[in-house]
Amino acid sequence: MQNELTVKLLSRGDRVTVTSLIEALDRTLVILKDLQESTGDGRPIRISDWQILNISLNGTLRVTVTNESAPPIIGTYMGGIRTIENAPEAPPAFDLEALENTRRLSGLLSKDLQAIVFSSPGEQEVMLTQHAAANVDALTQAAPRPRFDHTSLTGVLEQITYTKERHKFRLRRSVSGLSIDCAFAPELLEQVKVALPHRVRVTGETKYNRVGDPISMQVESMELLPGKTNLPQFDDLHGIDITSGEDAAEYVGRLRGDDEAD
Amino acid sequence: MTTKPIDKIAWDAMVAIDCLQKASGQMPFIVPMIREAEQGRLLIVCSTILRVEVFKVGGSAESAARQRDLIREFFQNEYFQFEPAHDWIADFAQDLCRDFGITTVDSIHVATAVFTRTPILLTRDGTSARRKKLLPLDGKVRHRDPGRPALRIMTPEGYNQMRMRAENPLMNPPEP
Repeated sequence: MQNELTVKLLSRGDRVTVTSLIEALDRTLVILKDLQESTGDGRPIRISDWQILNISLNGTLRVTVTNESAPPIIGTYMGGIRTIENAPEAPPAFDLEALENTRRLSGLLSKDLQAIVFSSPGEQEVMLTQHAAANVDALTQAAPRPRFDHTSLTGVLEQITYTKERHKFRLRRSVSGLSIDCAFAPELLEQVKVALPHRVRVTGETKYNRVGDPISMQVESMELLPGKTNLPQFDDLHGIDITSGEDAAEYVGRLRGDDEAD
Repeated sequence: MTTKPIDKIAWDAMVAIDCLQKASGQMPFIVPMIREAEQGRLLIVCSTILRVEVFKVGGSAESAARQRDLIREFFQNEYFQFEPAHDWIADFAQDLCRDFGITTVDSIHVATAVFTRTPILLTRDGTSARRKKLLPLDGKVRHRDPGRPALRIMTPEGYNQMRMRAENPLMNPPEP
C-alpha cells in the first residue's frame, strides 16, 4: 500500500508519555505535509487526511498511519531522514521548513524518547537520533568546521564494541542525551568492562561536530564515578563557609571584578 | 512506573554557594530544586568554572580541607552536570561580552546554559550592587537552535514562583 508509515517510539524508561506520542505523530505529519506541498500537484493538502491503520503496544509503541489520497512520499521522507541522520546534507525535496520540522521532531529525543524508528513496506527501516538534530543545525546555521579539544566529559558507559580492529564504547551524556563514540586502548578493556553501565568521567582528545557537540573521543584515561550511596547528599552539608558571612551575590560579584566592569 | 521528561536548569555560582552554605533566605527556593534533582527529575547544569568560584573556604586548614572534599564529592552527584568551557562556549561567550558588555565569567555561565540547551539560568546577581547584571538579559540571549525561545534568566525565587504557578493555576492573578 502506498503512503503507509509505521512510527516506533523507543522510550528511555518503561513507558512513553501521551505528550510524546502526540508530538511525534504531529511533527511527523507536518514534515509529510511539507513534502507533499513541495512534490505535489497543487491539490489541497490536509494533515487530517492521514488515518491510523494500526496501534500496538507489545513492548514497544508502534503506530501505523496511512494516506491513500496523497502522492507517494514515504520513500522520499524515509530517504530524507536517512540522509539527514548520516550527514549534514539537505535531502532532495526537504526545504528549510521540512528541515526545521525534522529538527523539532528530533528535539523530542532529549525528553523521554531514546529514538524514533520509521518503517514502511518495501523500505529499509530508519532510526532518527540526536545526530539528525546536529546535522540539521549544521545545515541551518553558519557553522564552523569540526574542532578538536582535549577535555573531560561525564556520562553513562552504555555499549562496548571490542573487535580486532576496533575498541570503543558509547558514552551517553545526560546533559544532552547525545552519545559519543569513545575509542580506547586495549589495556583499558578491563577498566571499561567494570564501568559498564555506570557513570564515568573520560579524558582525551575530543572531536566536536560543526555545531559544537562532542561526537567522539580518543580516551586516554577513565574514572568510574561513585554512586549516590557513596556521595554526600544535600542533607549531609553542614558548616560550609565560602563567603565568610558575605552575601553570595556580592561575593561572586567581587570575585568577578565587578568594579572594573563598565 | 511512568516516564517523565527530565528538566534542566543552569546555576550561576552564587546559587551554588547559597546551596552549599544553606543560606537561610534562599532555602525555600533551592530545597525544592534539590529534592526534584534527587528524585531524578531535574538536572542541574553548571560550568566547570563554577567549581573554582566555590573553592575558597574559611576556617582552620583542617576544616577547610574537609569542606573542600565535601563540596567536590557533593558535586559528583549524578544530578549535577558540569560542562567544560570548550571552543563553542568560548566563541559564544566572546559574542556575549561584545554584545552585552558582561564580564568574562558571566558570559561563560550564560554560554554554558545556551550550549547545553538549558532553557533557564538561575542567578542572583541582580540583587547585588553590580553594574553589569545578568538578570536584565532575561529573554535577550538567542537559543542555539533556530526557532526555540531565548534563554530565560531569573532568580531562584522567580523560578520557584513560576513552577508553583504552573502547578497551581489558581495562583495566577486574574487578567486585568
